[in-house]
Amino acid sequence: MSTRPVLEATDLKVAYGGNLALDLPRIAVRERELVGVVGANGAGKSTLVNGLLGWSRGSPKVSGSVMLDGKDISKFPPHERVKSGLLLIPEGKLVFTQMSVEENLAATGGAPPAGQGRRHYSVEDVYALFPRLYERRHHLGSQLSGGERQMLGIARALRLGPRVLLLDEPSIGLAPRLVSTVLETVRSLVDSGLTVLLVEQNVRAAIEVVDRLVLLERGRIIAEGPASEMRDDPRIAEAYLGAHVA
Amino acid sequence: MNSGMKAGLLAVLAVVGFFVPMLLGGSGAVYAACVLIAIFAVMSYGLDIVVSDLGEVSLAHTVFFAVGAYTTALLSASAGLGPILSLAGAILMSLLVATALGFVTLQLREFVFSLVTYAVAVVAATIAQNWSLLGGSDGLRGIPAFEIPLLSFTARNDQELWPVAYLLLLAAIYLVSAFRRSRLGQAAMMVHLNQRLAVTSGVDPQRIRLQVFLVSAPITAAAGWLYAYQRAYISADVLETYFLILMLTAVVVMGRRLLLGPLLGVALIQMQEKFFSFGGYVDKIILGSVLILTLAFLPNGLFGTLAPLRKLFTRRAAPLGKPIPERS
Amino acid sequence: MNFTQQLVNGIVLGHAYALIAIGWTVLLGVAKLVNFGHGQMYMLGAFVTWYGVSRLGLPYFMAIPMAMLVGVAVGYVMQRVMLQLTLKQDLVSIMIVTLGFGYVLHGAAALFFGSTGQILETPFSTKDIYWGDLWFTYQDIAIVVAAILFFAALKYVIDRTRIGRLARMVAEDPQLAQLAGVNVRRVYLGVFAFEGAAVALAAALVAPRTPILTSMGFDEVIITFVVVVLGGIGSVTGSYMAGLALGLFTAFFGAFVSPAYATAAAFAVLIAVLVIRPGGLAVSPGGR
Repeated sequence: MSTRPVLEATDLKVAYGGNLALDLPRIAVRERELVGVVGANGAGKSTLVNGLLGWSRGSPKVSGSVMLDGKDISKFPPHERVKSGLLLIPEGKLVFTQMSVEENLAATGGAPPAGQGRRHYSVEDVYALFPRLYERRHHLGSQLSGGERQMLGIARALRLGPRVLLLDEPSIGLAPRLVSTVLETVRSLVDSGLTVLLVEQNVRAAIEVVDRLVLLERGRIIAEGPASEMRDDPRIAEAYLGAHVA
Repeated sequence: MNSGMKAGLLAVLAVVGFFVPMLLGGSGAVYAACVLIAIFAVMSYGLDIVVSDLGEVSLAHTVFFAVGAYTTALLSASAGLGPILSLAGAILMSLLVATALGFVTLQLREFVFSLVTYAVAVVAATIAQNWSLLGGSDGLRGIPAFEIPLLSFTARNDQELWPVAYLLLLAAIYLVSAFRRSRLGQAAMMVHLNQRLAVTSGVDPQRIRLQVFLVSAPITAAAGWLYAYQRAYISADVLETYFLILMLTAVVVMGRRLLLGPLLGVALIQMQEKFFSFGGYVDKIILGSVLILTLAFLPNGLFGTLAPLRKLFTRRAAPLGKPIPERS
Repeated sequence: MNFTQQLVNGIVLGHAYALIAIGWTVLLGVAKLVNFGHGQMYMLGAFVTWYGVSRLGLPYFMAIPMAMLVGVAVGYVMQRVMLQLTLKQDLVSIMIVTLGFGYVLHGAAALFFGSTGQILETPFSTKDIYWGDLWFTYQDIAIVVAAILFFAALKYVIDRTRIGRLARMVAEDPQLAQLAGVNVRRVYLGVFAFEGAAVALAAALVAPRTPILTSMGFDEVIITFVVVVLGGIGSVTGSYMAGLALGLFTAFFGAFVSPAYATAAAFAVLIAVLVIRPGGLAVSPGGR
């Protein structure tokens, strides 16, 4: 296993107006690693994944470098980063509601280039992972339940041959039992070779599945480390309590 | 610069402005140009509050201009009424049309609203061309000279009409400034910038839009009123696209919500037509291009790129379009 | 003017209207953009075809692609200039910019082609057909055939091809489409180029029916607007049906009530519909 991280962002700063929303000296995800980024609302979690994609609502000023497999993609527009294998499953809008499940899964540009560590998932692979989607393959996106949409969102991203998968708060709006299912699915994807950066507000659920945890507060990293160590960290307990109360 | 100094400066400008045509030589051509600038500026001020404050594109303001002009023509030539009464008539008719238009477009979204206003203007042009009451394609002639016997005031040419034009201009500018400071003006900005927030603050966007329309229509109609007297002849060509493009360019070329923006914009365009003209069609190309280039590349207008001068005028930077709704 | 003749007129007119509106169906449906320069682009298509046929001596069949190419170029330039505004979804500025473009096209066309009316004569338009009491020309047949073919092709492309799927993705959610690797800029440019080509083709086919002036185009925008809104924004089948309905309405109204006010009447009908159902008869974006 190479020691160079798959995804590495250095000196990533995102500012809205004069306000520095995110200031990270370094964040990295290694091959086959599931990194969790947690923090309260407004801590900068979504800003982080949007900044990695090079795309955001509003007009932020983004500086710093983003490297994918050692290649600098900082100047690439979002759709180019996607084509290079950096995929984001955004919070909220996950699927095309006016298209059927089948159509949602149809790849946009043929099979992604083989090799380069990109996992290729065929339509059959995806249906095998998510049998429910196969059952509902002719249904429109708007007819799916919240949990099914989350699954379809992940399935769509898999179909694009991810090198790194970014997930923005997959647990939002899901019942607790579904949250566990979704996160466990992510864990098993990582176990079978995928590399994932997971952004979550639900610390308790996230800490069960991630390898490493990063705690954000007001746009800065205030703690990070292996999940086992972070479990005992008082700041996590505070964040956990905070998230629990909120 | 505090508001006291600003008010003082504006008052000085208001007095000095009256003497501009004299300072420029006082010839008939100069007076004609100044009167036209004043008329077109007033016309543009009406559109200004709809576009810059409310944030909607109304393409029907040429209709209000035409309503003002035609009403004046009919009342003064056929019914023999004086200027004050014909102004009242013009304002009244414009309010009626604005109300009808406002109700019809009440529920319409942005671009459907604009399309409807566009179509209304085209239909109005068809009506003006074909309705004998409005003179059909010949138009209405015989508009008498501007005369108020009570004040022993008669304006037989542009030089004598200038005081009227200037007063109208001052009135329009004052009205727009008062509007922006009023509750209606604040509400309009709220609806423009963040409709959701406005609604949760108890503001009814549809009612606000209707009310802004009712304030803006008479201003443009008043310009039409004076235009009828200035030209002594009104025909369907007051509904030409030229006036619409002129208004829109005047409103955006200087910058957003600048008090003197439309006036300066109109002056600039009229000067181009008088001194740098290469023929009617080339002028069209120039005017259209100015509009396109301003919106596409200079969203803050000419003033926005001359930063120090920004301080002289009241200004809040407001985007012309609606911002992307925020995800929660 | 008997009933059947007006029925024939109405059908031809309806297909003409549908053809003129096809660019907007895609533009509004996919990119949610409005093009107020549409009427002038139509005028330009008509005049370029006329110029090719009468001044350059080209055969009609070569003048049509020439007009379409000019249309594509104009559409492309427009969108290229407006690109930032499109990406920011600044609809207000976009509307005014397209209006400005229309005005510039008007000035440029008048400068280049003159301001007198012209007749675009084609090998089709001069051949009359008499069928019993009915009269129409080969041009009319060409319009109907072209409209049907074009609409069928468009429906097929949108529903069943990859490009159509890309367009529907961008129509529903441009940001999500970006996340799926779609080059949204290129889609917007393509859509505007399509609008340019489509309206030019429509002009080349329909303009021979009446004299053309460089000051024309406004009625065409209203007609297109009525067709697209009545048919349901973004709906290909809807636009076709609405075009047909509008054509029949205009033919009968023009013959039995008043020709000058036909467009105004159609617009009045639209207003009535919009007042009753403010959403228009809208289909959601990306819908068929």
